[in-house]
Amino acid sequence: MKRQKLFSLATVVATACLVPSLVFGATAAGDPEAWHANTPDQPGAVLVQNATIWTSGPQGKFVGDLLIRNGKVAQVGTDLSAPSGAVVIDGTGKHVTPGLIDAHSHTAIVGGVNEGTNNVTSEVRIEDVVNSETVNIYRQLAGGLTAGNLLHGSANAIGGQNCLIKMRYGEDPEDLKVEGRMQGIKFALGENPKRANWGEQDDHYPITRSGVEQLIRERFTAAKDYKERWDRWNSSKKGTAPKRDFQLEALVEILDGKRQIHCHSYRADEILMLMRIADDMGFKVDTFQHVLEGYKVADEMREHGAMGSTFSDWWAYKFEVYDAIPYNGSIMWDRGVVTTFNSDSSELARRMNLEAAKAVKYGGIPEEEALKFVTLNAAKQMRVDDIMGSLEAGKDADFVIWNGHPLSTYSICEQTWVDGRKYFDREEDLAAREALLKEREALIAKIKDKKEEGKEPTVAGADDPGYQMPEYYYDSAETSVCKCAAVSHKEEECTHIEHQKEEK
Amino acid sequence: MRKILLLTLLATAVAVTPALAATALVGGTVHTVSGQSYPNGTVVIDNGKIIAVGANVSVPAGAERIDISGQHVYPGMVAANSVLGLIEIGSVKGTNDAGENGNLNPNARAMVAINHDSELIPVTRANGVLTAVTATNGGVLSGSSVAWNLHGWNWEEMAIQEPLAMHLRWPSMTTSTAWWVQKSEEEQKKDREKKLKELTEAFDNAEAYHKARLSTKKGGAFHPVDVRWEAMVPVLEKKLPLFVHADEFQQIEAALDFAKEREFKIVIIGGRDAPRLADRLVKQNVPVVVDNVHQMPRRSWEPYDAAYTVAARLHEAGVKFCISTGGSTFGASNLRNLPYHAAMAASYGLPKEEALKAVTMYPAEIIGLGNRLGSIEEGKDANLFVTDGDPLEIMTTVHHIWIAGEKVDVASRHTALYERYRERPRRDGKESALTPSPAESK
Amino acid sequence: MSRLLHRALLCALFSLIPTSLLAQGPVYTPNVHALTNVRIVTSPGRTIEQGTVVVRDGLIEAVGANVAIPDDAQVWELDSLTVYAGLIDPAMEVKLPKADDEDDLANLDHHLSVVKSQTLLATGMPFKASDREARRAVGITTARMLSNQGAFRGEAAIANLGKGDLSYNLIEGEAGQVAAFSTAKGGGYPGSLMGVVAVMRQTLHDAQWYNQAMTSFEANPRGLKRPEQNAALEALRSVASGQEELLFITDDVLDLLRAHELAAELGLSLSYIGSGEEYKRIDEVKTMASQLVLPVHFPKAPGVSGEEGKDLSVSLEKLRHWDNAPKNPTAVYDAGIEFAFTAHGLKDIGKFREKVSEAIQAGLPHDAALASCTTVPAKMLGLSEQMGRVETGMVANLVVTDGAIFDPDTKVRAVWVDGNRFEVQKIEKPEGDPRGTWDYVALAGGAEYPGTVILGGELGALTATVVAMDEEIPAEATQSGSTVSVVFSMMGGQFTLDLNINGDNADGSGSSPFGDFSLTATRVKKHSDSKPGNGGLDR
Repeated sequence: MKRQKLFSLATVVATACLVPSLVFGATAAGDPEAWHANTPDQPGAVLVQNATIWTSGPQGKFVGDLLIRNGKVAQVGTDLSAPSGAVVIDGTGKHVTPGLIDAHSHTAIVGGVNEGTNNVTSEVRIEDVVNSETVNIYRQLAGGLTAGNLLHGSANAIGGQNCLIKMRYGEDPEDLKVEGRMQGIKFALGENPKRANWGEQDDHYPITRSGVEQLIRERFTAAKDYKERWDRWNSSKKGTAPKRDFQLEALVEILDGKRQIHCHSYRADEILMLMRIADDMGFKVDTFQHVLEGYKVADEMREHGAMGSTFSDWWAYKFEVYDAIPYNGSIMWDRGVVTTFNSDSSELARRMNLEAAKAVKYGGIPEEEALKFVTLNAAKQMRVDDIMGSLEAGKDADFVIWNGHPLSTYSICEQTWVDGRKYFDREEDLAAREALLKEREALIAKIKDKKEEGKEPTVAGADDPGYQMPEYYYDSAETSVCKCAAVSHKEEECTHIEHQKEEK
Repeated sequence: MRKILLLTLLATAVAVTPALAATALVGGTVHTVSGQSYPNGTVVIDNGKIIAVGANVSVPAGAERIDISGQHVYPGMVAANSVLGLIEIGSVKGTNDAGENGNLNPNARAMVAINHDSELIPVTRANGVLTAVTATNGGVLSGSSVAWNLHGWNWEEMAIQEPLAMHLRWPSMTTSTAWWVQKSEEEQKKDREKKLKELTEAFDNAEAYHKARLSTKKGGAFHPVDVRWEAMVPVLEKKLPLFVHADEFQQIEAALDFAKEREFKIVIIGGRDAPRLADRLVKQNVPVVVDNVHQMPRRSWEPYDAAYTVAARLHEAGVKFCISTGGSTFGASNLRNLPYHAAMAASYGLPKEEALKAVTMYPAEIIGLGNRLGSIEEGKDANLFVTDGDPLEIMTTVHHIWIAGEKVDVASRHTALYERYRERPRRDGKESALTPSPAESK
Repeated sequence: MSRLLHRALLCALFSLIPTSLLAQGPVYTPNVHALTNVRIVTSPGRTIEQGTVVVRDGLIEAVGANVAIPDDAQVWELDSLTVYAGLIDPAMEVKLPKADDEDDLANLDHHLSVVKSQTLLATGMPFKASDREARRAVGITTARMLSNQGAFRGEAAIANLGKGDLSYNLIEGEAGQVAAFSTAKGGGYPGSLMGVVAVMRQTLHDAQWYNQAMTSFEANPRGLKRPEQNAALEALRSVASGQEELLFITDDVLDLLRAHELAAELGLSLSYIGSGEEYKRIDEVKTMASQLVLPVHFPKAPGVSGEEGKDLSVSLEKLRHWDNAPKNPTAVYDAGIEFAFTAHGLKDIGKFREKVSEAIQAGLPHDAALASCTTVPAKMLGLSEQMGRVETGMVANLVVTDGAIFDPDTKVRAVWVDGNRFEVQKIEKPEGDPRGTWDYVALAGGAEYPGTVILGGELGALTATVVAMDEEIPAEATQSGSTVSVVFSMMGGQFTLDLNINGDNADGSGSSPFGDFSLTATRVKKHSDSKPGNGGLDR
């Protein structure tokens, strides 16, 4: 864990610096740059008193207290007393929920969400390209999100390995990762892996759902052969060991039950198809992602043991989602499938509580169960429900303080805590705004002064950094807004639309 | 021929609805939006219009009484900017009629391409969005829009006003180096210059055409009809407002300059940076359709809630505004979420009653139909919906809809599929905990 | 006329020296020099206020306040000037002419176009006179050169930037494997950053496996099947086994962290070329790198106009980075990381000293800056006993300036490489468009020798062809102000034409292995870059 950050140059160049207290060692609040944000303190104890607490756990929902000790939930109950030195928060009139978890995110990935050049890329890993620097992490904290499942895109039938992060804004990539847990991988079925919307694909395989099925079978067959080669060598140790193949190793891990599958899918036929491959090959599909026709095969999913992570109400953006309905999540839940709503969008990820409200609207899911669509169930889908997803003693102290009912469109997130550290506080954010504006103005003034002195050449295009830009760049604020569609547009879909444009 | 063309351009299509018996909604809370609310109020509608509203309204004899005790009645929401009806499935080219090729299509009419049986329409109205403005979205001068009710037997019946406005998509004034932008900054600048040139030339040429045609009509030299410039005539004559799509500061600024110079009545659609130009907007009396509240801040350094607070900031500055969503190619399918955009604006500073007005009364006023839509008042169109709570809350359900006085089903492709698959025989032998859809539970 | 005869005739004509001299073989000029009455900065922090440096046959023979000037030395009176050790750039990227193209893969190459570890830069790189001149102009006399292609880029080369060809200048032909997170061009695999990392992981494992298989086979081939040969994996054997350092080029601070993670996973030993953003994550960087090569490509200030609408696109991040980037070297210095400066990434190499000076103004001690250009890179490149200091026995790579080397007002007067003196001409911004076809006449020994120079390409990146003796000779052209210098090789020697252009006329001078000459030239055809069908629009 990073220490309090104080840019060491502060002392050296304090005189040259216009607003030293702002430029160096500023608070995290509202800062658009992660590196510039301090790690918040982790108080020994935090007590939130007299709030409506939605535990998403066995204790249900009640008005009471939440006690945090050393980054973990210590106790949830009523009339808890504050340990000495505890940070005490008056929660009267407020609501507290577990930190929201996004089961399908492409935030905080640098250098491409898809390795789209091959139809199987199980060797690539999102964990290698986590972008700790994007302000989108902060923006999602501001909507109560504390964790996100960073997934590879859906350009290929067998995609890359995913990475679960916590929204510890300011930390470096390694410190964002939730380590030591079972890892997963992205699969994809339907229009995207068959490149249905990418223009002409003369030389691509597969371009049919049948082709996708055979491709997956072929790779798992190859993985079994690979495993046998190793097993034989391990028992004889004769000659040189087989060469390691990271693509097949990931599939062997699936076969061995050591790696989860998160499968992008839409139609009932393809959902069923992958489960049947899995049955034949002897593995499980942990989650179907999007799974917008999950409601048609919910019984089959439950029987297979597959969970469903869907959009609340997105539909009709391509043919395979013409039968998507907002009741999908409710029907899956009703039939015993562990269900979540996900964002697939850096923008939507900032209001997942309101997505949960749609499970109440469409199908009448009880409110507490609906909230689990973005808390406990998401933790279950990533197999981390022993450490997060609900407010239960011993779990990570990831929680949100809302100014009202968490499923109300009028409520806003006031504070977001991760590991017992307050990473977002709306009051602090509001208070920091003026200083950030002043810092910006001061720097602009500094440029103007230097320009007048003739000392400072400026670049014509505001975006020209004066040196060669890398081939890729951070998913900055601008890049996260998709140009091909405005509100809530799914990032993955955006990727393929862009490709479509390129093809043309 | 010429005459017909002019007529179709300028005519106001009037929805022809069969005569209906009077209906009275009684016992519920009437949210007039324009004035006070009436707990246990009554709304009487007849022949497509609201004929009475209030606390102590007597129900005419012969009128059907519908008891909505414990429920709420609201004026239909108005989507001030959409592509509803033009797009069925975003990625399927054959179902997409939203954007014509070329930068100059002032003669393109959105109305004539509206698929009145689009599955998206019942889905949208089931949430209380009962009137939409549909505009094509390509090029620079992309054509004229239509205001229409989300119920009817064809577009002709459904249209309330056509043409409603001429839509101008202001060229991007900034360049981007983001990864997805294929063109270099130089190319982008050239593009912008080209588009701006085309834009000013189009208006200049249309003026020249208009002048020449006036002369022809007075017996001067003969100048033949040009369908494109002809479509611009009502704009030049200030009979048709210009709706300018502009989000970014420099776009809005340029549009305001343009409007001032040429004395056009304009409306800004988009308006992300509009609060930064509030003074000018007030001074020039230009309203803003805040298109999409659920958006990222435009710039990395702006506060996380920058898009959420656009409406509140405009309101505080005294700019006439309303809220919309669904103008993008992929936006039509979620136009039903319009009220939640307004709610987000409310949770970040816009007074709640203003948020409700921002999707009912204000859009009606801004599109010039304030006399017919947007509030429950005597004489206005009977576009109403009944809910079990605040329609800006997601958890609220819409139970009944009237459009132009006609009771409309809240069923949709979604409720149909829901009912069908909810009834699929279960394999776990358990009881379903799900509730019926609003379409079933009436 | 036979070609040979023609050529001989031209030699004769071109030369100021009688034809008979050519037959006597190459010219011998003694190479002994004494730089005297000069201020000598022998190494960072050590100065001889007035002294002499004796250079003999490319090496420093003596340095001191009271060194006797040898009888055979050419004497350079350098009153009021200062001599420094030549600057060393540990990361000079060389543009290889061939683009990534899978069709061009040779049999023993790796099947992925981004794996180019078999590249031996020294055997295939362009060693352009103009590149060398541009670096000498700022005092850089030695560079480690890196390929610009691939994720694994092959072996770097270290060379002096003097005259003659590479064989004369090359110091080390296998100066270490180089890597960078580069994707394949043209839609090939890997197309994403994570794909590149995956390729690196797989390839390094393959190389480890290859190394084991080869080592076993080499130790005892009998009874073992000969492993399949692969030049790329062969080249990575010692890197993959952790015995040789891999030099990693980073584009941002996350690249450095990412490379470090990969190295830790695979047991590699890494050194880094920094991005200039190290200050952002200096606590992490400190634990990962004890040494760094640092760029000085500090960004230009974002354009601010004072108009609200236009300035909105200027982000706080960009403003901060503009403000903080020059402080990066100080942050690295304060973190206790030893670093060397590089001109890598600078669009204009001529700004190198100016940029180092910005770092000094932002807090970096002057001597640390000097060390970062001399003794530290010398140490990094294993050349501490050959260069980096002005001391006896060192290679005579020197910079003569009229002031403190990083003072923005100071001019570099001359640069010595391997004991050869180069006068430094300031390269100015190109003035006017010199492109077109020029007929020139060289005047030598009272006779006229005609020829043609065709200048094309882009302004700032001219291309040139010289037509002499019915032969088209590829040439290099550089423009400084209104002067264009054309350099080409003919008859085993280097020819230079310097044309001072005034409209369509030019005069100037030239040099050849046989002597100097004067020049006049006329532009007979303008350069035309108009494309077919666009002719009428050209104004």
